[in-house]
Amino acid sequence: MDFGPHLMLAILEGAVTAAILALTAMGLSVVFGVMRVVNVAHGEFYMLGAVIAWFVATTLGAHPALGFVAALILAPLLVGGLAAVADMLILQRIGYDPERTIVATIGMLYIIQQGTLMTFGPDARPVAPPFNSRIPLPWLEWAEGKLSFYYPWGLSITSYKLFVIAAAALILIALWLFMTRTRAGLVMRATQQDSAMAQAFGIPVGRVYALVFGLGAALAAMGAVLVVPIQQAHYLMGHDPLLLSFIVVIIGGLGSLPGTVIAAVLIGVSDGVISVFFSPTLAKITATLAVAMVLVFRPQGLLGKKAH
Amino acid sequence: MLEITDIHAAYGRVNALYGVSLSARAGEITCLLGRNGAGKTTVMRAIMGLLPITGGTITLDGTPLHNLRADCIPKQRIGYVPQGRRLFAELSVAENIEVGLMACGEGHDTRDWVLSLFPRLRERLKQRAETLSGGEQQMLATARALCLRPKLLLLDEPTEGLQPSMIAQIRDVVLRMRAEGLAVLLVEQRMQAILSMADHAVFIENGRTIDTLRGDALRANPETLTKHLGV
Repeated sequence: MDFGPHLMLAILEGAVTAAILALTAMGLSVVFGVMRVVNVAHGEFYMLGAVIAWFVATTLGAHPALGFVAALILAPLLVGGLAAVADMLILQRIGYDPERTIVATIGMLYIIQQGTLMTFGPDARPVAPPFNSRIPLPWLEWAEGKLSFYYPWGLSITSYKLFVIAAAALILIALWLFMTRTRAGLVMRATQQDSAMAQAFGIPVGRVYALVFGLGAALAAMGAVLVVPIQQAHYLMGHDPLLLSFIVVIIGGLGSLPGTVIAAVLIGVSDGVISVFFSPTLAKITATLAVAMVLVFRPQGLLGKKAH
Repeated sequence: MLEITDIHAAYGRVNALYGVSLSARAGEITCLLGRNGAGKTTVMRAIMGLLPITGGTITLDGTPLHNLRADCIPKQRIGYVPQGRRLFAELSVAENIEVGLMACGEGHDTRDWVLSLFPRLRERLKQRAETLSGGEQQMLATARALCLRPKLLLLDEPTEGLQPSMIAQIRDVVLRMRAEGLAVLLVEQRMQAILSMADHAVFIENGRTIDTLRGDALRANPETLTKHLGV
């Protein structure tokens, strides 16, 4: 395959990674933005979403599309509910103290991970995609004095991967509308700005925090449900998304939702391109190097605000 | 209306209030006075439940406030304009007002009422609060508190850092609220404002109430202010 089609393929693969990463990192960013909590257990909520998706799809056992749709609804609800309960039982009781929340979420990480190992076992579980036709992609070439389309051998993507990109974009747009156009979103943004003043205007900050922690985990679970027909569900699958989400959130600017999307696209697409042309390890090294550069030259991230 | 009896409060292990008592009545302006660090803002925060008290009582029309969660206190119709305004800086003017309206379930009528008090805000509804001038920010902070249709209004240095025309506008609104029967608890540093508006003055020093005077007594002996405040 020529360089051009090869690059296009790499960018499309990167776009799929970026879509999943944007959803997962957005959950982390929302939680940090509103609650100032560094949620080390975020990757485990992602893993739990994937495992529940497998469980739901397997239990229903009907057409893969039915299982997938059920998983897309149930997994975020269950994971979000679990996270909200964890917030009320654990994080609220330690008063969201920064150091103690990190230790507490590390504890949650191991409880969820080992609980999943004990109940679902160590095996990787596949989930059938709801649809998966191969779509050949056209490329342009200059021939006989004019531009014409042709279909290079091997340049194709599955319909499911295109769906993942579209679904993630739709979910992010829905989240943006929720945050900017609804009263619940206004309450969250007010709490993010000044939680004490939010209380002075009757906002039940404790309940808002539980809702936000649940929302963050639900976003991770949605990302996982979308990814599980591409990668199998496994009890250790939360590590990479956690690391990449932190990378994205730091590059984008802690708590900045637009910054998180931009950084997810940058990291996802660069991951795809570097993985295709060089190696996945080099892609991870590059992402980590990018974080280091951001921390040195622009510690607040691309769209974050400087601390006063 | 508001009765504060011998309250004690602390920031962690550091005691801030050692026995503050005061009352604020409907249709009156009670000025809470003291030097910097005397505990005036702490009293305001304690009333709003933002700093738990360790002793004493705070009641509004007989309802104990000190047992309520902080987010339930504004629902007792208490509007709070904090020192430094503390607006939701990245929210628009309209959104700041909306947050105020949500507290007690007020609607369009109240929104129109507060915007009629501060017409300039109506021209700035889509503007982010942080981009307003200092005076406009103070108007918004006051408007946001009035969105609760409060029976008690807490104002913590509302004229701090404002130009005279803005001070006059804020003062007019405060006097209008008094005329409409609100109880106003005002922390203020400007002698002229204190002498012209106070129905009662409560002096605190080192976290304790040290003197209480009626407004006319204060106006008859303005040197009391000099004595207690050192101004």
